[in-house]
Amino acid sequence: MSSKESNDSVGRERAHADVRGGIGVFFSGGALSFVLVAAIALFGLLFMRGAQSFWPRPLHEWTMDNGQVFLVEEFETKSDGSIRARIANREFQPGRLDFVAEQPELIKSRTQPENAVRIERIENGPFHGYLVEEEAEQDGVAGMLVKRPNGEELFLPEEAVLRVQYPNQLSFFGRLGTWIANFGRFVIEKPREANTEGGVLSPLVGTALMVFLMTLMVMPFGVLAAVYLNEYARDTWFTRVARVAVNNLAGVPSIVYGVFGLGFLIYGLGDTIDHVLFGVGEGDASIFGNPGLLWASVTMALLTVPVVVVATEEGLRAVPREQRDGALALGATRWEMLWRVILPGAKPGILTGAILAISRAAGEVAPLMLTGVVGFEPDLPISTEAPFIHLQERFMHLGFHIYAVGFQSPNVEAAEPLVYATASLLLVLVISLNLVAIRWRTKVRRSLQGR
Amino acid sequence: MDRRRIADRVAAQVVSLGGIGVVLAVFFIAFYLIKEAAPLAADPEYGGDPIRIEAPVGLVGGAEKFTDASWRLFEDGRLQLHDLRTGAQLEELEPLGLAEGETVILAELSVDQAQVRFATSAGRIGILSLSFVTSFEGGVANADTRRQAFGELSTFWFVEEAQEAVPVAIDAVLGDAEARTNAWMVAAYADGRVALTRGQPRYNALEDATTWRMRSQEITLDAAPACVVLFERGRFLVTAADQVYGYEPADKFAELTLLGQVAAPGGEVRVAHELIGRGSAIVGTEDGTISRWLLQPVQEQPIAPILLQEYEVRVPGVFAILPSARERVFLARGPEQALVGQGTSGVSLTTFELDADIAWMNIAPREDYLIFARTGGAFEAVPLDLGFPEVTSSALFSKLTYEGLPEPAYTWQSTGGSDEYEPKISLVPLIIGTIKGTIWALLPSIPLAVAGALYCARFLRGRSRETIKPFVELLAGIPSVILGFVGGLYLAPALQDRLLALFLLPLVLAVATMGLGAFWARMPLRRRKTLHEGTAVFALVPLYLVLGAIVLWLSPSIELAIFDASFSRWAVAYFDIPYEQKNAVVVGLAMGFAVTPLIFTLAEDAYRNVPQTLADASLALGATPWQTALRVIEPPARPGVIAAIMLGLGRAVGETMIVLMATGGTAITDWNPLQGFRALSANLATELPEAPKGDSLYRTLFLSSLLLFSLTFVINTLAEVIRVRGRKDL
Amino acid sequence: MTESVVTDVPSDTRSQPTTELGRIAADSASRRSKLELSEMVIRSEKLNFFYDQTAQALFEVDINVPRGQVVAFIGPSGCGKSTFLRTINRMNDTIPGTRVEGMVQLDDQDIYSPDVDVVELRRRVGMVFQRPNPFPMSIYDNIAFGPRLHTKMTKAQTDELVERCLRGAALWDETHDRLKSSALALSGGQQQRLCIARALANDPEVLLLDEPCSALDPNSTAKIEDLIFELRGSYTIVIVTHNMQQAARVSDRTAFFLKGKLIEEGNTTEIFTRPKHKETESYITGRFG
Repeated sequence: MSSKESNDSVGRERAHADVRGGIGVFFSGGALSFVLVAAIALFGLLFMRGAQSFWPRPLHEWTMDNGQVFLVEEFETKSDGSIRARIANREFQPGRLDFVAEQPELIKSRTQPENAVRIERIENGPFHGYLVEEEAEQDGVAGMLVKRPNGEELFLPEEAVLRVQYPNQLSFFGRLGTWIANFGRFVIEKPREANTEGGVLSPLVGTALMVFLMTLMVMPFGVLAAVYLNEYARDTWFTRVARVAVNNLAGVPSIVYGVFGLGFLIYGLGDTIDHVLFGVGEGDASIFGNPGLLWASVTMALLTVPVVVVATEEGLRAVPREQRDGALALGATRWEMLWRVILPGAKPGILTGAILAISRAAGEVAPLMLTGVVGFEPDLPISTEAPFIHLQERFMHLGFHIYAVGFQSPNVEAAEPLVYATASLLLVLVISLNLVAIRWRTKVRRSLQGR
Repeated sequence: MDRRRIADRVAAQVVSLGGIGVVLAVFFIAFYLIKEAAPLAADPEYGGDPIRIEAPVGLVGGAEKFTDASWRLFEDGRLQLHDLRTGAQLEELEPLGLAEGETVILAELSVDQAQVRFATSAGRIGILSLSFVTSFEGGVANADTRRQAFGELSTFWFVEEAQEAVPVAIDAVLGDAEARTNAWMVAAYADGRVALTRGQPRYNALEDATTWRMRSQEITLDAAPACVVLFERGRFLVTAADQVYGYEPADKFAELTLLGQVAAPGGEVRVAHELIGRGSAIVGTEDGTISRWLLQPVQEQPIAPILLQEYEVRVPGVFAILPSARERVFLARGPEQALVGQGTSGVSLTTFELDADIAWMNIAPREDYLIFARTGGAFEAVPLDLGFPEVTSSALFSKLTYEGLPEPAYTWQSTGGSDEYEPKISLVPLIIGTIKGTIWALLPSIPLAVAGALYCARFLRGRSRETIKPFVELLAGIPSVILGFVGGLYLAPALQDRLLALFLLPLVLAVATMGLGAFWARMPLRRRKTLHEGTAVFALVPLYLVLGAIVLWLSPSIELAIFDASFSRWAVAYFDIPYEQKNAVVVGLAMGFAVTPLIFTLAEDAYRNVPQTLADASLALGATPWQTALRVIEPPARPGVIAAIMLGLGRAVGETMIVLMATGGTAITDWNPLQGFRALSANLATELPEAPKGDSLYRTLFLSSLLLFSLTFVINTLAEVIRVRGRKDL
Repeated sequence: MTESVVTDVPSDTRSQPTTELGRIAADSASRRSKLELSEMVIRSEKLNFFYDQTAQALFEVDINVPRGQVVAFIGPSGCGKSTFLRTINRMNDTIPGTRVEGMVQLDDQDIYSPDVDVVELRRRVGMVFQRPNPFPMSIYDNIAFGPRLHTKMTKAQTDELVERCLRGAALWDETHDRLKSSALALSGGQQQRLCIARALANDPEVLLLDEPCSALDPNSTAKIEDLIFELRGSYTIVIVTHNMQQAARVSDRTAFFLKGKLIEEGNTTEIFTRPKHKETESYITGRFG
C-alpha cells in the first residue's frame, strides 16, 4: 500500500491528467463538431437560398430621394447597410443590370402596392410594374399594356409574355402554391436568355444521358476487371501492380482524364473515325473529332472504372468461401460457380459500385470541360429523329451549368438565385445516390465481418 | 467437349482478356500523356530529299509559305518567281521602278519575309511589300494543283529623292494608316551620321487617301556605324566598332537622346538584326559571339541597351542574322557554319556545316525548310524540323527576362493573340499556385479531420458513431463544382466583409472549448454521467452554432468599431499587402470541405482498426480515455493517418473546379494567402480547349498534366506503402 | 462490516478426496502456507448486469473475495464469469448500452457509486486479458506505461521499477538484455507474463486474470501458474478459467457460475471434492460444458 504522501502526489498527477484529458477530449470532439457545424452551415446555405429562389417575394415600391421610383424585390441587407434588391426591367437599366444596392436613408418611402405586377417574359428577364390594359393591341399585334414604376407605358406583345403574377396579393398558401409551381417549372423548362432565366431541363437531361451512357460502358468493363483480378488472376506481381494501379487511379486528378479524353479520344480516335467512316477531310467540319456526348461519357467511364472495380472486388470477397467450394463440389464449372453463385452474391457490391460511379459522374465537371460540355445549348441531344441520341453533339450538364451561370454568364447577379437552386438540386441528387451506396456498402461490409 | 466445358473456357478467356484489357487501358493513360509530351524534348532534325531547281540567285530571296515557289530580288530591281516543283519561271516584275543605272545595294528581308527593306545606289531607301496569291488548278484543292503567283506588290519610300550619301546599314518598319501607327526608318552612313525618319499618316477623308508626313533627326557618332536595329516607337540600337548605343526620339521628335552605351562581348559588332515583334535584337561580333539584346527598362533602371544573354555556340566570321517568323528562332550565319538559336530562353538549337558556294540562305516561313541559294545558280530547300524550340527546360523552369517585362520573372502567359507575342510558359507560377492552394486547403483540414476522426473512432459510442461517420462520408461526395461555387460567389465576398472573423472565430471557439473541457474535468464525478466523453460533441455542436453565428454577425460591427473600416481594407492599408477577393484562403476554406471528409474517413478507419484489446489494457491500467487515445491508440494508427493525409494532399493537388472558381486565376509567384493563384489543374481546364492540337502550347499543357499525374501517382503510392507497412507492424 | 474468515486448510484428518480434481486441489492447498485473513476485499450484493435492455448476463450475484487469496471463477462458456470479472474494475463501462444493478464493493466502497473515479479504481484493480495484449512498444515502455500515467518518475526510479516488476513476473532473466526491443517479439507466454508484470507495476490491490492461459501452450501455462503461486498473499487474485485443473491447482477458493447465476462458492478443495450442488458436480465431472 502506498503511503499517504505518495497518494497525494498520485492524486495531483491524476487531477492534471483529468484536466488535460478533458481539454483533449473536448478539443477532438470540437474538431468533429466544427466539421459538422460547417457541413450544416453549407447545406443550410445552399438549401435555404435554393428554396428562396422559388419563393415569390413581395414587390416594394421605393421612392428615392432624387425622385426616382423603383418596384423591387428586396433580397438582403449587405454588410455596409445597403439593401440589395432586384429592380428587373433590365432593358431600361444602365448596364442591363437587374440588381441595385441602395442605402436605406436614400429611400424616401417604401410601400407594397396591392396591384404591383411581376411579368415573366421571353426576353429581358422579368418586368416589374402595373397592368394598365390586359387585352390591348398595337400595330395589329395582341398583347398587354403595362406601366413602368415611373409611369411610362409599355406595350408587351402576347408572345413575349410567359406569365403574370401579383405577388403582393398572394396569401401564404398562394405563395406556397407559386413556390411549388416555380419549382416544377425550374425542373421541366429549358434555360432561356443565356441561362439567366428558365429552368434546368437541358442540363438535367444532358447529365442523365451522359451518366446513362457512362454506366453502360463502365459496368461491364469494371465488373470484368474486378472478376479477373479477384477470381481468375493468380497472385503474381502483375496483379499486385494492377491492383495498386487501379487503386491509385482513383486518386488521379479528374482533369488528367479530361486531358486524355481530349488528346486521345477526340483528336485521336474521333479524327480517325471522321476520316475513315465519314470521309471528312482537312478543313471540313469534324463530326466525332469534336468534343461531344460520346467522348464525355467514355472519359467519365474511364474515370469511374476504379470506383466500380474496388466496390465489386469488395462484393466478391464478401461471398463466403464455403459457397464457392459448395458450388464446385456439386460439379459446377468455374464459370457456372461465378455466374450462379458468386455474381449474385456480389450484387450488393456491384450495385454499390454502380451508384458510386453514377454519383461521381453526375458531380464531376473538370474533365467534361475538355470533352464535351457546353454552357448554353437548350436543345436536347435526344430527338425523335434517328439516331435519337446524338452522340457527337455537345450537351449541357448540371455541374457545368453552375460554373457557366455563376462565373461566365453576362449577368451573374440576376442568375445567382438560379445557381443556388441548381446547386441544391445537384447536391440532393448526388447525396441521395451516395446515401443509397453507403447503405448497400454497409450491408456488404456486415456480411464480410460476419464471416 | 460438352457445352459447359466450352462455356467455361470461353468465359475464362473473355474475363481474362477483358480484365487485362481494362488494366492495360489504365496504364495506357500514363503512356499516352508521355507520348504527347515527349516531342518537346526531341532534337531538331535536318536533312532529307532537298527540293532543287536551277535559277539565278539574286541579291535576296526566299520561298512563299507553302514552299511551292521561290522569289528573288536582283540588283537591277527585277523580281522573279520560280516554281519549285518544275523549275519554270512563273513571273518577272520590276516593282521598284528604279532610275536608269540605279541599282539596289542593300536589301534585307523582314522577319515575316513579307517585306524587303532596301537602299539604292542613289541613296533612296524604301520597303518593298510582297504578297502571294494561291490558286488551284482545275478546281480541286490539294498540294498538286496549288499554283502561286505574286499578289499586290507595293513600295513605300522613306527617302524618295536621290541623295549623295549611300547608307551602310538600314532598318525600317511600315506604319499602319488605319491604326494610326507611324512608319520608322533608321539609316547609318559611313561618315558617322545616323538618321531616324518618322512617317506620320495623314488621312484625307475627301480623297480617301493617306499621305505620310516624313520628318528626320540625325546624330553623328565618333566612329563609323555598322548596324542599326529599330525597336518600338522609334527607339533604335546602333553599333560602331564594339560599342552598342541606344537612342530614342525625344521632345516630340525634336531630338535623339542617347539612352546608353554598352560594349558588346567579342569585339567589333559585325551584324545585328531584330527578332519578331521588335522586342529584342540578335548581335554577332568579330569573334563569333552571338548575343541577345533588349532596349527597355529592366530592374527599375531607365531604358537602356541591355545585353541579355550570350549563346553557347559561337559562329566565327558571323555576317548575317536571319530570324524566322515564328517562335523567335533565328539563324546566325558564318562562312562555314550556321547556328539556329532561340530568343526567349537563349538556347542554341543546332548548328549546320555550310558549303562554300552559298550566296544566301534563310529559314522558310513555316520553319519546315532551310533555303539555300548557291552561287552557281541553283536554289535548294532542305527539309527541317526544329521541333518545339520555345519549350526548353529553362523556359519551363527558370527565371527569364522577357521582352517588355521590367525584370526577370517566372511567368505563365501562354498566348497573346499574335505571332509577335513572346509566349511565357514557365510552369513555376502554376506549381507554386498548386502548392499554395494545397497548403491552405490542408492547413485547416488536417487538424480538424485527424482530431475529429480520433474522437469519432474512440470516444463516440454506438448509434451516434454509426450516424456521424456516414454523414461525414457523404460530405466527401459533394461535387467540387458546388464547393467552388460557394467559395467563389459566397465565401469570397463574405470573407472580405468579415476577415477578422477568420482570426476571431477559431479563437473564440478554442477558448470556449478549452473552458468547457477544463470545467468538465473539474465537475463532480456524479455529474459526468450525462456529459461524458461520448456526448461532448452534442454539447459542442449547438455551442459552436450559437457562437459562430454571433461572431459572424458581430464581426463587421467590431471591425467598424475598432478599425473604422472593414478589417480587410484596414489590413491592406496597414500592412501594405494586396488583397484579392478570390484568394488562397477562400480556396482553402472551400477545399477544406472536400479534403476534410476524405482525410477524416480514412483516419477514422485507421484509429478504429487499432484493436480494442490495446485500449482495454490501457484502461485497465488506470489510464484516462484521453491518455489511452494519445499513448496507445495514436502511435499504431499513425501510418494510416499519415496515409490519409497524403491522400488528402493528392486530392488537393489535383482539385480543379474549386481552384478554378474560387481564385482569380492570375499566375503569380506570390505566397501571400490574401492573393489568388493559378494552379496546374485549373490552367489545364482553361487553356487546353483553346490550344491548337499538336503545337507547343498543347504539348506543354500535356507536360503539365503528366506532371500532375505523376505527382498524384507518387503521393498515392507512397500513402499506400505507408499504410501497408503500418498495418504489418500492428 | 468485515467478517473474519479463517481459511479452510484441508487437514489430513478429512476423508481422502474422491476425485482427481479434488486430489489436485488438496495437494496444492497443502503447499500453501496458512494465511490469517481478516477482511473481504471484494463484495458483491444482488448484482444484476444487462448488456442491453433485454439481455441480462448476471442474476443476483452475491460473492465475497477475501484479501490475499486466489479465487477462481469457473463455469461453461457464456455463464457470466468473465462478465462478473469485468464488473470488478468496471471494464464493462466501455461497452455501450450496458447497465448494472446492485452493488459491488472494493474495500467497503461501492465502486458503482457516482462519486467513484473509474480511472483510480482501475489503477487499484489490475487486469490481465484472455489474449496477451502488450502495447506495440518496447518491453520497458510496456511496464512503465501505468506508473508514468500516475506519477512523474526519474529514470532511475523507472529502471528500478521495471526490474522489480519483471522479476516479480519471473521474466527478468529472459528479457533483461532486450528491454528496449519490441514487446511483440516475445513469445505468447512471455507476452502474457509481461502483461502481468505490467499490471503489477501499478501496485494494484487486486489482480483480475481473465482466462490468462487460454491462448497459451502447456509450458507457458505452467509458468503462469507458478507465477500466480508466487503472487498469492501479496495480491488478491481473481482468475477466470475454463480449465478446472488449473482452478484446482492455483486457487484457494472457487466459484461456479451457470447461466449468469452464482451456483456455488467455497473452498476449492471442497468444491472439487464435495460439491453441494448437482450442477456443480455435473460440471466438474465433465458431464457438460
